[in-house]
Amino acid sequence: MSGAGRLAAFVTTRGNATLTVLVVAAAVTLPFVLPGYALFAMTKAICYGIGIVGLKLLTGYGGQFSLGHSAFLMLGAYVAIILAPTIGFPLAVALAAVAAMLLGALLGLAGLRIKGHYLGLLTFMVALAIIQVPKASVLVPVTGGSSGLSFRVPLPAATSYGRDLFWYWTAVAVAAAVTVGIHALIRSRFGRALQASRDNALAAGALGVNTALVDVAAFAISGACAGIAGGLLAGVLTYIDPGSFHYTLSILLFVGMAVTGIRSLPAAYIGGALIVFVPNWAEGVSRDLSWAVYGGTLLVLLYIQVSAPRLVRLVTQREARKGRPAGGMP
Amino acid sequence: MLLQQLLSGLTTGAVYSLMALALVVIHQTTHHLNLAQGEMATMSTFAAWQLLAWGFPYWAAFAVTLAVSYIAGAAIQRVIMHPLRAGSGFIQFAAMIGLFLVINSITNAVWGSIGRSFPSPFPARPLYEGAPISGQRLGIILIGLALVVFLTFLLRGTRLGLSLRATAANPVSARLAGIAVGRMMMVGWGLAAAIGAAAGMLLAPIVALDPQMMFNVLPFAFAAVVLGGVSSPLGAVVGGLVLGVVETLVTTFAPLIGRELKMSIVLAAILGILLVKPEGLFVRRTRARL
Repeated sequence: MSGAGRLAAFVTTRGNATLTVLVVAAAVTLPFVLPGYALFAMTKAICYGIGIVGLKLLTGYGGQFSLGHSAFLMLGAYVAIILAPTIGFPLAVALAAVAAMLLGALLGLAGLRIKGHYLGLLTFMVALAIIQVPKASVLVPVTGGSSGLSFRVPLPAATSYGRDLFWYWTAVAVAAAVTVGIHALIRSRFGRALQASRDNALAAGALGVNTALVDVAAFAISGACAGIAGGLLAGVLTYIDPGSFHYTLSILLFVGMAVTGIRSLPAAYIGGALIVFVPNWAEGVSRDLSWAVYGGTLLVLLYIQVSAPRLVRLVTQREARKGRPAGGMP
Repeated sequence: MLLQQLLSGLTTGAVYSLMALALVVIHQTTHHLNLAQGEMATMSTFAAWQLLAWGFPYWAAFAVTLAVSYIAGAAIQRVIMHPLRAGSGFIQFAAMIGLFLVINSITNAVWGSIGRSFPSPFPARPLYEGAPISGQRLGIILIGLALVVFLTFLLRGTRLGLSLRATAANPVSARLAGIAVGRMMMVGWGLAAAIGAAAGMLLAPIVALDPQMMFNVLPFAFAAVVLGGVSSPLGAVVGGLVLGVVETLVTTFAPLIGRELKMSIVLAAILGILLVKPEGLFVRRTRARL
């Protein structure tokens, strides 16, 4: 299939088509409508969205849980911010992806031994543990400890609004590349092997799929996506510290992935927007109970997600019964 | 000095063991891991603190808390997890995250984030002059051991335990065999909540009682479970004790890495165990079939 054909196939994939059009349209029009601060928030949302795309590959297509994706973002951000002044930002982000990929491969190896919810908790521990690492006294000279690091690379745009625009379009371009890339990967031989391994590892193995390799690779690639997201975020935020990657970010990423449909890639960016905007909304509803509001909303959304098919069936059956003429049974 | 450290490690380990036991019980009855387990235990402990503040005698408050926790755990299963049973494991995992956030937030809002002191039923002074261990720490270890014996008996030696394990292993076959699967799941959640509450009430006198109390313990309990094997109550306890001792020794003799990178060390240990002996130390390897 040609590149253009691949792109067309990407845009026309079932329910994703409309969504893709909407997301792309929003991405193109928003910078002309939004003020600088909102644009900055949107840029952050796109970065988180890239991380969620990686998470959807892992969970939606690979069937593995990760509650540790803030760790990959953090690793990517630190690698990028430390290396960018010497080797330039693009190369630094590439290395951030490689570093996160290695961490992903390591967790993927653990994932071969430990499944489901236990893998979820293990990755959550990684998210908890990694925020201690930059604060370890041995590493403080490099990482800045609790006081964090600033991004010191000159940008092509001078004004503050120009900077916001620059980062916005960079994020959009990277997000498009990552999303199309992951989509192509899912439709490739590798993607089919991954889904086979998710649905029934024993059967897939019997058919000659190297399930261990495929599962580890999925974790590594998912990590790389989050590493890229983190590297970008380092530039966008212009300042990072361990607190920017608190373990709650892992929870938010997971929820952003969970409530937007685990296999819909364009919806990942809606999930990214939820990460940026929903906590503020919850705080507006109740200051003391903001996380309870957030968690409660999540439970309601999950309930709708589980029972929606049943509700739809109930309604359509009733419609069908209504449409039938009275006494029409032969 | 070394003996002192060992015993202190054993006490910390006993608390990890208790939480690990709660995780094992949930696993034995639902095959799931409850991420909100720690938050539920913390809330139970705060409930006990509230009862004590209202003037209940210690053991009355202890018993009431256990009972209330059991009912609350069963209710959470019925009201929140049961309607989501048609969803995949992933949906249930997300629901536990929701539970985690809700419970943690409510505890914070009701009791605030300041640490509180929690009384211990055991004397804080040594049992006799020059004894290496305080009555309090000995009491925690003994209660932990008693719970293990009780749970092992419950899960391995009673009809209820068999039903619980059957429900976890294969709910469909269990239902066909006449087991009330829905009720077993409620019992499992209730049991785990009660054990968590016991762990919380025993831990609270040693550390300060605050909404983050169990959050710091759960990862270690989990590590203990991985070390011992997910389906073995004895394994969970041994795993917890080993972990407590190792942690105390590392913190004492290598304070630099011990204090700053505690979690990373535990994590490295888990990864190492998973690579070398993935099924845990106390579990027979299981087979899968198509």
